[in-house]
Amino acid sequence: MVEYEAPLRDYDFLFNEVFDVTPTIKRLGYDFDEDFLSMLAEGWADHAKEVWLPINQLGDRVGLKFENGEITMPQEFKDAYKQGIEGGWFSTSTKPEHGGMGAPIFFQSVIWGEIATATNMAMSVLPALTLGVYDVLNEHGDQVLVDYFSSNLAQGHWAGTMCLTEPHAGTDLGIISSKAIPQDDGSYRVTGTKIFITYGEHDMTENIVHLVLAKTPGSPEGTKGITMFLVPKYLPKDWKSGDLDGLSHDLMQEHNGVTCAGSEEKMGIHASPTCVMNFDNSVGWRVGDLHTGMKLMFQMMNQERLATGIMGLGLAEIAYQNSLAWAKDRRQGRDLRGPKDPKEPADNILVHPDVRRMLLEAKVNNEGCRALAAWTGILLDQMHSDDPDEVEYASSLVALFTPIVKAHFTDVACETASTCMQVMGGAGYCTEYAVEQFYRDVRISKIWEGTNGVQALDLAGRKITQNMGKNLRHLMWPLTEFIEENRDIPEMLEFNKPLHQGVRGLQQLTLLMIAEGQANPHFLAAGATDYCRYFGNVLLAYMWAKMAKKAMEKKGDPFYDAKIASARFFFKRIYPETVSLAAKIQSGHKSVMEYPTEMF
Amino acid sequence: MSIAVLLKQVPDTTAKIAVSGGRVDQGSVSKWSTSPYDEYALEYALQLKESGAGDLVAITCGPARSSKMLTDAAAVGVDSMLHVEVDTSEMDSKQIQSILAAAVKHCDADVILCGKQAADTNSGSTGPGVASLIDAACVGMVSEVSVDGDGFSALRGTPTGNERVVVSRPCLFAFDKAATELRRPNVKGIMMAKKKVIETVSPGDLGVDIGESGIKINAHDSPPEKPPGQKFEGAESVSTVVTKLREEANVI
Ligand SMILES: Cc1cc2nc3c(=O)[nH]c(=O)nc-3n(C[C@H](O)[C@H](O)[C@H](O)COP(=O)(O)OP(=O)(O)OC[C@H]3O[C@@H](n4cnc5c(N)ncnc54)[C@H](O)[C@@H]3O)c2cc1C
Repeated sequence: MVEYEAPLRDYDFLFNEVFDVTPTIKRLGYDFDEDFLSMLAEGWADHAKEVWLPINQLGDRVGLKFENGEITMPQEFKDAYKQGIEGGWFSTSTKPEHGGMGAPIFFQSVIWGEIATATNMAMSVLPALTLGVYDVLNEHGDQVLVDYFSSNLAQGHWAGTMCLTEPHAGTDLGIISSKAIPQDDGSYRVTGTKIFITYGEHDMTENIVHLVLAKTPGSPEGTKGITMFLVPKYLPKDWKSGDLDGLSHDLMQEHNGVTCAGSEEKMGIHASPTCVMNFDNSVGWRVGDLHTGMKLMFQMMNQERLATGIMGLGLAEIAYQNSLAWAKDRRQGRDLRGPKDPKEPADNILVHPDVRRMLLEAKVNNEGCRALAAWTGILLDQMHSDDPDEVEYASSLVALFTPIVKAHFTDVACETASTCMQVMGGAGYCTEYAVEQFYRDVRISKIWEGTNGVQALDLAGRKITQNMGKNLRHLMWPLTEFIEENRDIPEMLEFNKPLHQGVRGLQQLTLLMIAEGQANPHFLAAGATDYCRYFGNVLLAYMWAKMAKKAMEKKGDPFYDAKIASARFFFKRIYPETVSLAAKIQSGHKSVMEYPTEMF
Repeated sequence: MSIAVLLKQVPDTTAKIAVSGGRVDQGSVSKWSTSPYDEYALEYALQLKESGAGDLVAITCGPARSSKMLTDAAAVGVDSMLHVEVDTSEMDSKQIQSILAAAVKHCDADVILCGKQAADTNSGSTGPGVASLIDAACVGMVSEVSVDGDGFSALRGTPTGNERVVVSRPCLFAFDKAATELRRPNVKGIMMAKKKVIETVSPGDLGVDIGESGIKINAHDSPPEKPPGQKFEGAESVSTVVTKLREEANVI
């Protein structure tokens, strides 16, 4: 039996107590209150637990079937997806005029995302990608495209994909070779091969809408020459040429030159297709201006990067819950200070400091990441404020947090899944218990949407200096204010002092990275991953100090006492890694770059 | 005339219950839910509404926190909600019945559905009590009800099997566990529920004089802790298990 309880109590604590979301969200124009939030969260948690979780293992064991260019998904997945559409669970944040519910973005991006990925990661990426396509289209697409595609995407009747990667172009998208030839009628013909395309082909929906990066004839070299195109798997039945104005949603029988040449066998997410897609003179329409493809795709990718970070959290949480349930039943050895249950042949393994350490590392990192996710989610809503100052503040912080949420959450999540497996000894490695699946499934999160190495470079090489350092300033202001406020509160000393030290360290390391990085980019690149982890730790420290402060108001209640104990564990047992990270960053690039390449 | 479903908010069956100062410490209950039998009543009330038996009102009588349960009911399709806001923790059954009977009259309802007993007090008196106060036919242990001409046909459990009864308005059905799926709120329902306003009244507003409680609660106590379960593994333990089942548990 796979255990899972959505962390609803934690969401309540974070959104209502720590971040007091209601006034902010009401100010942004939403008709919203605490009860509404808890109903949506409970409703989705029930749905995911009853409909998604029971087929997660089946998806892993049975997976999908590729035959004659077609992918058949397990029938149970198709049924579950249909139920999700009927319940409106894929359209909480899409616009009411497209049949969506127009609820705040943070619900979809944080609560929906964590519960979805925990209960069925392979399934969760389909609606997540579709929503990404919907958002990009609505922000940048021509009105005719928006009108034709939005409703079906908003409600999940049609699915979306992002097609960037080519066999020779993964991280380095500047060298893609897919081509788009303009036609007299305003459309394009797209030709090229894309690989690793998630849900590139499947039978969950009647149409698939691909956002494809390609180059037009004579476009500049590199990423500056890339344009985004919308290429549907099937065209409207009555389309002959030109645009889609006024056409029905009945589709042609013949596909639009879009074929799937295979699906990768892989370590995890067996029920998520990873396709080789061929576009052969396929009819497509430009999204946004010529040569803005990378910028637009980055908008979608940023959203997917946050979603990927939260995906890490979802899997780390379900791995923790299952290893904990197992550990509570397991008896081995004795408490070193004398038997706890002398009548039993052995004590429960929670008497062992090392087992407690493992479970606490998992729990405390999960709860810390959840807090940062909650904050980021609220910022996503604030980015749509009418007040330009609020938009600037929120956009700067989201830009800064995106690589950290993606890389730090997923690095920690992969460690957590491994640690949880370790808690269970041999059982953890066996398929009977689901933790090994979570360990396999979560591993991709460090790779896709830009590897974590690339995230670290984005943080260190771009995000900290972007907008003349404004991103960082928007963080440092509230952070230093918080530290000042708590300086003289005795109970906060144990959290505030190390937080202060970490923030000072972060400032010094940032200066070092910028100064040395200007002189030698290898210095910056060699330290980027450690810098990103250092930054992640400082942000989680801020979250834990904030949570501890809130929890102190209700001392004596077990939930709040545990929050304070968790904060203590974080500062004593996780956060000190910042010391070694700082040392690694300061040691520079020489030991890395002077190593003789021929000796690898 | 309309249909009314009576709902009671109780500590969730998974919630830990603490007793302090001789009373259940309500503040420490981590989760409140709709009493499980009431959920079946709600499901069948929705089905009756859908077969055209009338508009459906959900009624509760309890402290402020109970309103969340009414919004939950609205999310699955209840048309309107009435909350008689009052602290019921020291009331006796008769007082609560008279409030609910007045609430039913206030809503002009003549078909009432409720759970056969609440999961916290388990007293089982509300259904029959309300029925007698409003002069309605009362069918207990119901596991199914449907529209039957001008009246209703209900299946009720008896010690020897099931019995099908037909009643006409006014009538009250007290629900047992039923073999039906309970509907879950979907996003649309939740959005709609948010727009519905709960009518909140006091017993005085309904014109009920509840008088004094005829029962005084001395103290609440936690039940004695259950002895831990025993685990037996392997074929060699069969004879021990058989002996225990015969001699300790007296079940074979
Ligand atoms: C299951 C799965 C699903 C996927 N889904 C999609 C999808 O839907 N759409 C899509 O377009 N793509 C998708 N991808 C592709 C994925 O985004 C890429 O695999 C990923 O971005 C890395 O590219 P790559 O595999 O070419 O690795 P490479 O770019 O070859 O990288 C190899 C190594 O070199 C490092 N590296 C590369 N360049 C640099 C640099 N400049 N500086 C420092 N280090 C560098 C990387 O960090 C990595 O460690 C998917 C991949 C998988 C496995």
